[in-house]
Amino acid sequence: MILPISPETKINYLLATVALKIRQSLNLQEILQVTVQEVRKLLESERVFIYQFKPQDKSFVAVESLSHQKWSIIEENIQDCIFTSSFFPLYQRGKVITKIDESNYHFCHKLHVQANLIVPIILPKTPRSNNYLWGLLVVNECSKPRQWHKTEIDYLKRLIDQVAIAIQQAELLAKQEQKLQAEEELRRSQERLQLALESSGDGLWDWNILTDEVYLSPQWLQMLGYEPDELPASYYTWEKLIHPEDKPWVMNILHNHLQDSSVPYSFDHRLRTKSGEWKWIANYGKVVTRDRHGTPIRMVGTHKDISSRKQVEAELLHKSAELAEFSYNLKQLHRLNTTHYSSLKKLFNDYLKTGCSIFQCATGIISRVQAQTYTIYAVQSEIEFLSPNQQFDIGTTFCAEVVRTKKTITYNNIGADIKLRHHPVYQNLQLECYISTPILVYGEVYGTLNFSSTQIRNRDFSIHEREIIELMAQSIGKFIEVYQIEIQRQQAEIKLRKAKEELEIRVDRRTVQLREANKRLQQELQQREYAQAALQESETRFQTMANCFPLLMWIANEEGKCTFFNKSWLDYTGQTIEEELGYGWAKEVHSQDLTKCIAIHQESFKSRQPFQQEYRLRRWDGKYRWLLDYGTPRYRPDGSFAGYIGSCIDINDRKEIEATLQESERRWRTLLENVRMLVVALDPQGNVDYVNPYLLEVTEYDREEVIGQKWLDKFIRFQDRPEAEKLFKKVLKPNSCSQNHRKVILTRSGECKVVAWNSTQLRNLQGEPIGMICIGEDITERHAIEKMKDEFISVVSHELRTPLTAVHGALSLLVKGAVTPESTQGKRTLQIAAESTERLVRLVKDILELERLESGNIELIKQKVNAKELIKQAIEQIQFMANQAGVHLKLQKADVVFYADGDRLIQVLTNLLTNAIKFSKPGSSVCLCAQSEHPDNLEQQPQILFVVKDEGRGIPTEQLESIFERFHQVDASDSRQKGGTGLGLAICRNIVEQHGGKIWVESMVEKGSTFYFTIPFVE
Amino acid sequence: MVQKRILVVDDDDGIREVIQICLEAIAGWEVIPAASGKEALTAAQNRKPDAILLDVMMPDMDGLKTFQQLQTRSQTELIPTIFLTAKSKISEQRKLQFIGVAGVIIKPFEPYNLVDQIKTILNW
Repeated sequence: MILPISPETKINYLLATVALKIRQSLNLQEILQVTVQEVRKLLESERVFIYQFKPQDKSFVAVESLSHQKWSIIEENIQDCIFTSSFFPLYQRGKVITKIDESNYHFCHKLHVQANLIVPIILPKTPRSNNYLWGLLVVNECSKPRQWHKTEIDYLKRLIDQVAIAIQQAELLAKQEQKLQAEEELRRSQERLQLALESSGDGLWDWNILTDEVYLSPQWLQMLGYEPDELPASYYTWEKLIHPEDKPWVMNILHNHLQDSSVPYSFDHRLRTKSGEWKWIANYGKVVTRDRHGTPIRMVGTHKDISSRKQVEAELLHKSAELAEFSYNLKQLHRLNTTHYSSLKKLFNDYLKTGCSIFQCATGIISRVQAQTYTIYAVQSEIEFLSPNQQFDIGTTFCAEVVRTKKTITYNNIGADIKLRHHPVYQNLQLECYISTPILVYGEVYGTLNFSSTQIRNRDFSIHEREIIELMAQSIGKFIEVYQIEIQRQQAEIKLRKAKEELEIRVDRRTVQLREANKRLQQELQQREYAQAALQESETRFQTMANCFPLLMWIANEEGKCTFFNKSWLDYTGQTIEEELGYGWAKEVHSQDLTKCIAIHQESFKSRQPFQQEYRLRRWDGKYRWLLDYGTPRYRPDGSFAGYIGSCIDINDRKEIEATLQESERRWRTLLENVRMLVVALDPQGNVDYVNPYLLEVTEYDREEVIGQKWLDKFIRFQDRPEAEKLFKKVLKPNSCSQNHRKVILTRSGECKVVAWNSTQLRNLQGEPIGMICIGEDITERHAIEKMKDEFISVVSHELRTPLTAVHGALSLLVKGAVTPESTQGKRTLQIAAESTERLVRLVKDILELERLESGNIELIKQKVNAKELIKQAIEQIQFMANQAGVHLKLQKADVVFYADGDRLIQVLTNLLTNAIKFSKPGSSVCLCAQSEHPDNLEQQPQILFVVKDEGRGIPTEQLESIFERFHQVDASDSRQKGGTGLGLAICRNIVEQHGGKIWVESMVEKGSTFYFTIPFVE
Repeated sequence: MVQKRILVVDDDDGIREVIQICLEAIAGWEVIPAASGKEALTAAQNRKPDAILLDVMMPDMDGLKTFQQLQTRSQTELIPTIFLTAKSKISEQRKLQFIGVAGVIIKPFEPYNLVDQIKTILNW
């Protein structure tokens, strides 16, 4: 049994069947073909086709289905308004079009369309695009008219929804395939590049950013000690090998480069080798492919092993640090050498303390070595059981070697040394580092000076540190020598005293032995002389020592007179010691420094305080050089003041550098403070660090209001801030170039200034960015003039083109014979050509006139003129026009004589009168008068005032100023209706101003306007 | 062929008359002249022209504003509109095409070509 089916159900069924057929395919052409076939079958129409829209007039008929081949249009280039953009708004709203009339000429006549039904195909919205008009489904009847049923239209609309989805899917699939093809292409180009680069010897990497796969060349892996293919070909392989200290900034550079290829991707970083060491690698790379959204797809680069270069760099750095330390240690040494100690024990303790700090050792010992016994003489240590007078067998100490070789020895990381780690010292005390040098007294080993620590040093003792400890040991040796002599002297004195006592006893008791005793006394006296000679010798020794000292040294007695200069001093000044003694040295001091130098010298001697001063001293070659002089008071063993000892360092080079820097700083500052450019420096947070006076002048701020403020918040308009911020960040990036840009800045009163800036990075000594300096030129006026000029040119070109178009069109019509000159149309055409030509001539004349006036190319020919005469001539010129317009002219002739260019003033008057007549109604009147004005105030000049008054329609208040500007009439269309050029008043103003006068207007709307202008009698 | 009716809008009397004579004499079309945007709107609504020739640079209501007004009214939205402009820069012409006008004709024009140009643009 067949159930009766409702038309609605039937349609739904059909729709489902067709939709299924369509959706079975993912091939676009197939989908379209099935669609047109099914639709034609269903509607039993003669032609169904799909018209696909393409940009740039490339729309075309994609598929068709026909009842007969003669209706085919697939090859046809359809030109009908129904397929042009003017219908798009309708289609986009999903409107179905069935209308067809004579306006669809091509459609009706060439394609034989008698009935038409158009349904737009609109692809639905996707996450990537909005819905858009893809094409049209068109159903035609060609042999007979047909009325479309509503259900048919509904059916088609619903079917087309299904078709649209199918098209969208098919297009997506096609796009996907294209993408796969592109990736294949990418892979092939990668291979070519690798071949080209691998011969260079550097490591090569090639990163597919989409998949994170990285090709790592064999050289890349070899550089880090890996075999080819030993590591996974992934981005993370590299990331995991980066030194943790380098990783954050490396990732930062990579990130920035991926965002913006103009950020250079070039740096040195450390990577871990297979053996676990760190290796310095220079990495250089670049994103070579981006998709059309700018997303990076592929990045390639090279690795270069730069470990050796980095090592040299590190060594240089280390050397300079060592030198700095050495010079500091020398200063310490100088202090030790010039300090007066009340006992040898204090001296030793100070030496050990200073030494411990210099060598960063916890333990310092001065030892006495006699035969096989090692006695601690003085000790500075945290190890408790080490105390003075303790004795060891020399064989159990590290010093055995020092004593044997008489040379400095150093150890570091003793625990790692196979020979030394079994040594009893290491076994007992775990000393890891050790520096020791012999103390020589009279050329013999007296003992050792040594420092040690249980901490392993991060580097071995340097040659400079060896020098320091040797200098210390030398000083100690000398002091011991001096001390021993002192002991001998004291012993001699004791002996002498004893001898005296014995002598007295003998005198008392055994006079008989007097002679013998006398004789013995002689001997003792002789011994004393020896002791004094020894003392003398110690003085000589001190001088010998001082002469070896590299610094300039001097010694003064308690009166301030110099008693000694060392060899360095004498070599430096090129003088003999005799010439320098007393105050002889003062003649080498620069005359400008002498007074101050002597004053400090004498002052210090009074106060007995250490002093320090700088002065210039003449060197042997006659050049004055800056010295830094340290002076320290000396005391005798009994505590009495003995004078001063001083040493000097040549600091001339340092001074010169300081002076050069100061001069350079002064020059730049003077330049910045006086230049007529805006200068501002910002710190890395964007706060104002410096502004020059001109910037303050332009922005009307005081310095205090600006320094430390956020530049963006204070000076940049809200809408410009994101861009300004971006630029600031760009300039602050390492190795950025200077940037030129044009920005508007706000002044205190909110005025906008246009500034052409140049922004450059500021760097510290290490080359790191520490801010930005911007130098700018205020181009506000230039900018405004440029804009005005552009506007003027645009207006002039329009004003000239308009009459030209009319002239050209009219003449063309006549020449080509479209109208005959005799016909009414022809006569009118000729009249248009004549009128427009006249306007064009007037316009060109006025523009040239104004241009000449403004550029000052016209010299005013000033003569004695009479106002009465000028008015008369002006009236003569416009009387005819006034009569034509039915306007009555009222005159008030003034007999005033003054100096002016008469012709020019007549031009002004006729211009104003013409305007007045043009805007007056018939029957109204225009008034012209002139009068002389003699002001009471002597500062104002006497002048003549002209007045032109009308009863026309007036001028709105807001336009009273602008009407004197070019092409600025009250209503732009006035210019054509009233036959003016729009330049008349501009010309008037120019002529009056060139005479030193003024022009202005007073007006009331609908009541009339009054134009005034003044001309001074004399210039 | 049916006689076409064209609305010519230009504030310059000379140009407007030349176009009128030209279209009447050469193509035999009926011309409705209008001197401003306002006049054009009224004429377009009352006289139902087949096409509109519209000057861009006019005081008060310029060509663009007039066109936008025409687009908002159902009686006039489908009338094809051609702009007349003295602006010769390609970028400015393209800007006009994007807003959906049927075409652009540049001033100064050749009267004979004017008719052909209009026909080409409108597929007549």
